[in-house]
Amino acid sequence: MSLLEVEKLTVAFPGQVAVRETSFAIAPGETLALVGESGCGKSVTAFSVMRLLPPNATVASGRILFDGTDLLALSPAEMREVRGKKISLIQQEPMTSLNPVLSIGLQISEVVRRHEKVSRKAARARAVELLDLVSIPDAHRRVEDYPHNLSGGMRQRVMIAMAVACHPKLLIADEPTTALDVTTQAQVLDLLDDLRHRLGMAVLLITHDLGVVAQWADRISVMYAGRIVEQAAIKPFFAEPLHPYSRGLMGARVDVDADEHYSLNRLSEIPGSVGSAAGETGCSFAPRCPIVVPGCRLAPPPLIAHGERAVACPRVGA
Amino acid sequence: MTVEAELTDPVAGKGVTAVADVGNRAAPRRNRRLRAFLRNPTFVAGVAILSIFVLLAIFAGVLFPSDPQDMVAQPLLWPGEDMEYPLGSDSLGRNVLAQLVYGTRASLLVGVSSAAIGLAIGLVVGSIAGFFGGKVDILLMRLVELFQTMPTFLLVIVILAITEPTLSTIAMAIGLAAWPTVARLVRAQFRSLRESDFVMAARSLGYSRTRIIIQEILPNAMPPIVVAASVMIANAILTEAGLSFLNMRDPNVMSWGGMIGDGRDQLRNAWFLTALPGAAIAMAVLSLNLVGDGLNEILNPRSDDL
Amino acid sequence: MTALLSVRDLHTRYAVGKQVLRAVDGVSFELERGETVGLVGESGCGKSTLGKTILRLVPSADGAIVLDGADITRLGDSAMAPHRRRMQMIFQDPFGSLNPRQTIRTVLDTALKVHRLGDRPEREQRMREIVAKVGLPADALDRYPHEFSGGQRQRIGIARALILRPALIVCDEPVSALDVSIQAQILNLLVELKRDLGLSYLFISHDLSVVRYFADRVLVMYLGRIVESAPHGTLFRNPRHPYTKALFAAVPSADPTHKRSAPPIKGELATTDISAGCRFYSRCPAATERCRAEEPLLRPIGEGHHAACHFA
Repeated sequence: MSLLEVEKLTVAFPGQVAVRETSFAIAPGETLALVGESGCGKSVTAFSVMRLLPPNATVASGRILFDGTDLLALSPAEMREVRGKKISLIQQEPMTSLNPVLSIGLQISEVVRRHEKVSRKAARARAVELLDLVSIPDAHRRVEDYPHNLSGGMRQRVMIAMAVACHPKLLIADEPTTALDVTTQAQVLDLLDDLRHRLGMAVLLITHDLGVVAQWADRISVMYAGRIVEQAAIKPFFAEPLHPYSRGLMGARVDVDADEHYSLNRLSEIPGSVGSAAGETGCSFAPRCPIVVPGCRLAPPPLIAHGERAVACPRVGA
Repeated sequence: MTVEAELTDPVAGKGVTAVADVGNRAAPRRNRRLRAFLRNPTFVAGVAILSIFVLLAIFAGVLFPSDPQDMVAQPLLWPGEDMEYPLGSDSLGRNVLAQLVYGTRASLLVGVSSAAIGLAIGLVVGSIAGFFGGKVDILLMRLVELFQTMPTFLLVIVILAITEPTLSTIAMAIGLAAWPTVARLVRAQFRSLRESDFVMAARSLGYSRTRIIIQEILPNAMPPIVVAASVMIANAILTEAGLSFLNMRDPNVMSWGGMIGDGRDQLRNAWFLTALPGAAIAMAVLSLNLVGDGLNEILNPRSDDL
Repeated sequence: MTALLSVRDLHTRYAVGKQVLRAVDGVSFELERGETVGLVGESGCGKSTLGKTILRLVPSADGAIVLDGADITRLGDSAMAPHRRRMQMIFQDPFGSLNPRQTIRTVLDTALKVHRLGDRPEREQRMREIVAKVGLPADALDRYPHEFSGGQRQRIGIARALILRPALIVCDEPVSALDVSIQAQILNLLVELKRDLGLSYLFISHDLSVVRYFADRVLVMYLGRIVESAPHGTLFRNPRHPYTKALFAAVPSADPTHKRSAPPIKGELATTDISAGCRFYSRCPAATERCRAEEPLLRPIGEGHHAACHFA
């Protein structure tokens, strides 16, 4: 059974629909990568699961089943019990996600005390353990530090410590390493992967970097203009992406291992920009698609399963 | 959260549908601004009240062709007692309504011109300090602090004690006392904008410092300064009223503060002589503050991307 | 023929409180005509400051910047003006690098007016040409930056850099704020422009894959110094400095079967503790006593290949 099941989720903002009839599921302990370019709706999807959407957003339809309960039907108080305890979130910006005037030890023990009845002292001890768990050296001394004493990578580790403090079943990581350097990125993602095995949590990894996906995820969902256009396990996806947008993304990416140079080859582009999806009645990708036919513009193609994978394009088949 | 509606890149969709929102985003930038102004109730209310005062000030001479200092009626008529003088008359038999209308003129004139003087000095000092930084900045900021250690009102009184109080010296004195606040505000704006990429770009294109200050930084630094200006006018009106009350006023000009000062002796038997100009001051200050608040909301860069 | 740009022992220092931050700490390199030099390193290594110092946007503390044989290190504003036309910059942030209150026409026309280039019709002609050249619609001139998407704004930034017909362009992370699909469009455009206009680029980026594709020669920077420099092929096939190796190892490959082998280096860039020895000492997996005591200098180790490591 799936841990999280999102069914036909539609989220609207005034004047536009950010997520359209999106469905996906995460099994316990698995890492699902939600991939797409800025504005494709991947963060909105994540925030819907946390029920942390901005006030002007409305969930127009759909269900979000977590362990069999519909999160959208919970009262705000019940939802607060879920957040931080069963589902946690790490955000992109480790500089602003921590309170600058409180020590990190205090911030971690607050999370523990919010969800578990433990003494101040016990929570403090847990904070040290957690810092140790996320490989912060000298944890018992570091626990007194304030965010400004820490580097970006260290802060992200503290964020992770806070997120896993109550052993959640699902961790949502929204671009967790985008603000970090490449060497730090590898360290933080390795840590996340290690923790997921040790604590048995599932991870919803939101990223725009296909390299990160290939190295650290089990399955991938590609989003374009609010819809999932392709879903697959990592190996078959990277061996042969099916949807024209997935292919375009892979083609436009420069790989550090590939022997490409501007003097030899031109990068393949996806022409145009996401803006062209606005007002499109058919497939949102049709204005930029290299294999578009008139039929594509009639109605948005549904996500159709081809064995283990699914793709929302009638022009390609597995 | 980023909004998805972006423009198509030019290479996009050769021959395919143009994006629906190109047109309505591109053209009427000004109209959109105007709509933002009109949609803000605080701003509209402020402007409505303020424009009544402005109209009164402009057409004072048409409405009341004779000198408001003329003794035209029986002294101490109560409002409504004689419909020729709907707001009554003072102890010298002067028309209170005419006095109020002419007082609008003086108050607004002092308010606007002192704010202009304060803005001019503050802009120059603040932008130089903020743009050049270093020793220039330290020197100018010490000067600002020197002015700020003195209570504004006392400073104005001292200046007016030295010079003859006329409308222009009053405006000058208030402006001189008000510029340090503007200078600080402008300096803070300049310091952050100086480091922005578009200013770097302007420098790499070889623009002169004057051009960078005036063309690149100043227009982007204006919104908070415009807001501050409306509050400065309000404060100047209050200061002018306070000064007139203390008899530091232009004896040839009718002003609200002066009316309150004159009415002081009759406070017990003819309180309307102080209450009416007091209400006028309150309304004017309120309207200017409303305009300031409204501008603050509208010009806030976060609400800019509609 | 001399190099287009020659940087000799350049230093840039910032005062951070009472401390002095040596953002650029003795950098020397040359950039030939028509060449693209990639400058790669992590945030805080000083690569962006180096770019701005070369453009004389940030004052240098020591050293020399020679453009086209002329030493521009200490020129005053007016003496600098003609040299400004020869080198321009493209910025990372397509939103912050354009004045929100100016139309594209104002942006471009002001640059031409300041340098007294052409009369009105000539300037108009030149603006139309450049706008077409960077792939913007002709009506772009009379619009404001907020009316464009990120990718288009970056094209505007490129148009502004090109309007004075410079020889050298410093690109400071020009594609890192853009989506992958737009990134490829902009990189292809920069390649086309280089070919058509004979430009030279100093291409600053933290993204090794982009630098690998785009640069002819690559400089790797760590804490204010160049630690390795080589032609792109050599560097990517045979990195010699442990830091360069670690950088490569950390870049995630889009091939899931190609799992990263060794764990990357520990720790993060520390900007304050520069000891007597090698700057990379505290993070280096192969550090020895010698590395702690003696700072390695950039030395030749192969054809056009230099590294600052005792053991490279």
